[in-house]
Amino acid sequence: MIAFINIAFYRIKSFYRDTFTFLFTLIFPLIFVIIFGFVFGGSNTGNNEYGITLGVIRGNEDLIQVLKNVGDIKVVVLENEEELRNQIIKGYIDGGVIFDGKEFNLLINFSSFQQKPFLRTLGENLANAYSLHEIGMDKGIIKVEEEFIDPGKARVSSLGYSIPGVLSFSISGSIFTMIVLFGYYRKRKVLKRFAITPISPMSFVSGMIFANVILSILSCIFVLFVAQIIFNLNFSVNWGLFLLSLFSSILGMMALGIILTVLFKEPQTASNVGNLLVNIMLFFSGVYFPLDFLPKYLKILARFLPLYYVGRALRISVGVEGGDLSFIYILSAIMISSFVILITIFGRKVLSLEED
Amino acid sequence: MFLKNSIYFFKSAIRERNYLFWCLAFPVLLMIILITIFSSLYEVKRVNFDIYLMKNESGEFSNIIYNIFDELSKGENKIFNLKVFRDISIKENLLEDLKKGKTNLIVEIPEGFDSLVISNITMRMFGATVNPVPIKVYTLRHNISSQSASMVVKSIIDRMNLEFVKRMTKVNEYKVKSEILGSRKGFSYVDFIFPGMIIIAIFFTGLFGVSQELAWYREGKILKRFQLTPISPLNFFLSYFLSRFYFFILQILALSFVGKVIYKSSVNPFSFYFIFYVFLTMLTISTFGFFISALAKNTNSANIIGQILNFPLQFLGGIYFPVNDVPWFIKWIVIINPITYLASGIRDTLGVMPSPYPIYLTILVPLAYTLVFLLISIKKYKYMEVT
Repeated sequence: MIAFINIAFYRIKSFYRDTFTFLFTLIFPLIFVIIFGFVFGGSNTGNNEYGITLGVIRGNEDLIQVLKNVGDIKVVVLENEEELRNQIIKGYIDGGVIFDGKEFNLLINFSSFQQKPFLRTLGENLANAYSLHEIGMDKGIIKVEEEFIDPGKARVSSLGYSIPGVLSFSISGSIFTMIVLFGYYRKRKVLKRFAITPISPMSFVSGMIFANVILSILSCIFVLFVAQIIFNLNFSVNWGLFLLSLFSSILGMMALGIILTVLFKEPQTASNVGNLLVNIMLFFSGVYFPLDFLPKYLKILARFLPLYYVGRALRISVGVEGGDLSFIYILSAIMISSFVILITIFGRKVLSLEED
Repeated sequence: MFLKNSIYFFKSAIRERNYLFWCLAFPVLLMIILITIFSSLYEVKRVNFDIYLMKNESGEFSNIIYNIFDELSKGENKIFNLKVFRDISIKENLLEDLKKGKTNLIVEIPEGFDSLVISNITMRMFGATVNPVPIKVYTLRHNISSQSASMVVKSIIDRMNLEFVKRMTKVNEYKVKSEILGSRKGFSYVDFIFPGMIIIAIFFTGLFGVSQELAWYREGKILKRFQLTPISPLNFFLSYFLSRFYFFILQILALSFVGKVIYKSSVNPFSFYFIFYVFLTMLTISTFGFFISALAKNTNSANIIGQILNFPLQFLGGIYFPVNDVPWFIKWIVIINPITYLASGIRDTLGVMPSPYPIYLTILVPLAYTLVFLLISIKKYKYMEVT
């Protein structure tokens, strides 16, 4: 037991010296949060729910009035078409409207369209609203009163909604912990050397795993706090569920790491496949872009990837998404039992292989 | 001798499975993933939304709304998957369904809706100014499908308003067209990402391949051993960089095959501008790798420097999305990032997307970097040789 505690302490103390784990678990998620936070803003709660900013050429007072009536749109007035196009291309505004008296031309910045595909339908709304405005019936006969429902308990910006995805990236680093332990250490016969010491290989492995779980949990909490402080995000964290989600997800990712080590004898190959898997999973965990508009087959693919569920469990536990608590309990049970089963079967096998 | 050595270095690189995977297979896979995902976003063809309609009225106007929604829920090109609920007391349960993603949107026709619409129209006929009759829409925050469904419903209601008003008075109707900026030929995600992926592939090779390899040669004192051979340091480095250029050409051929043959990109990889910028990228990124290897104490340090620089340079270089509208403390990374100029220049000259910077800057800045990296690295390596 003392050996186990000592090894766990040693691992925790040497965390920052293990550059790869340090970068993957703490530094990269922080860089992600900062880049995504500042590039994509994330202030679209409140008056501008859709986060749309449109430009209009000066002199189109009626058009400006109509845009304001369409609702939830910030209007920027620009001097001419060249300036308008320039501002859109540079990404300063989401789009612009040019009206020549006969036709509306809705210009959309490609990146805004990537994040808000609904922008395309705005043209029709605008044309109908303009026709009504011309005859002095801006408000029409029937009006849509829109109420935004928060998916979770907390009201956060879209950045806040994507933070759990960033945390899941941090968690995915646990795959490599197992590749290092059961791949590289096995190859270099590190565990065998414990035979001549009073420490059993099992104490060493369990101490290292325990410490890595603690470090990953602390890193995620740190990233969450940094995001909350820098971007003024108000999560409604259910700490019990959050810690359970983190703990089980880390073990789940470690289980995936064990599978890779078993499938690929060469640790470098296992690491490459792990890296590729993490990259693919990141695209489908909702960090980079919304998954709603993916083709059906990609949505199905996403459901086969563990990070999809990890992201969801974290979103529920920090209160940005609604969902049954049973989802977290079931997911945790699956993740923890996968780890226990795999470590029992293959952990022993790996240790015995080394003894051979 | 010089060519022979470069071929030796090249052969040695392609024998490394790890190197081949990250520098050749990974950029191709990344490009396929990006095109598969984002092309579907730009070509929204067959999207349909799950909608709950809460309606306990059975008057003329609420039935019109129901009929429109019902019509749009039929056939192959249906927009909605409609479910109608007449019992308003289960509203809370329906809102829970919305939160859980079981439906994209809830539309509620409130009680007394039909009589309110009739009185509204009657009052307007007598010239009175009256407020429109509300119809309630519940949208899920942060959910693009929900927001899109809401936009479609708003469009339907606006259209209905217009049709009602057309029966009372003459109304002008206008055409609408939409344009995704900025492409000169019409937006194509494949055209947009293809030159970017070429830069990224070269970037990976330069940042991780060149820097770590040269650092490893130094750490393993292999460079020192070369001093005992007839190969001069100049010959060594020239042959090494030439071999990486062969590798870059291999990367470009692989990505061009995917971009042109599989995804039918309109970008011509044999155009002068394309070749020019690719060559400029090769120069800048190779010397960047050289520079990192000169700064790093060993292979591990070169790897760490590369890993730390990778994300900011990659994501703040405008490869995946525009990075102009960012705060000043992020903006400076964009401005000093050579990838920013290379990506803007190549896309502008190929007609994919206009550059936010003058074209001369997209050439001069990378050239200046090449020169600075080269001078510092040569000086550092010379110093190491002496010591």
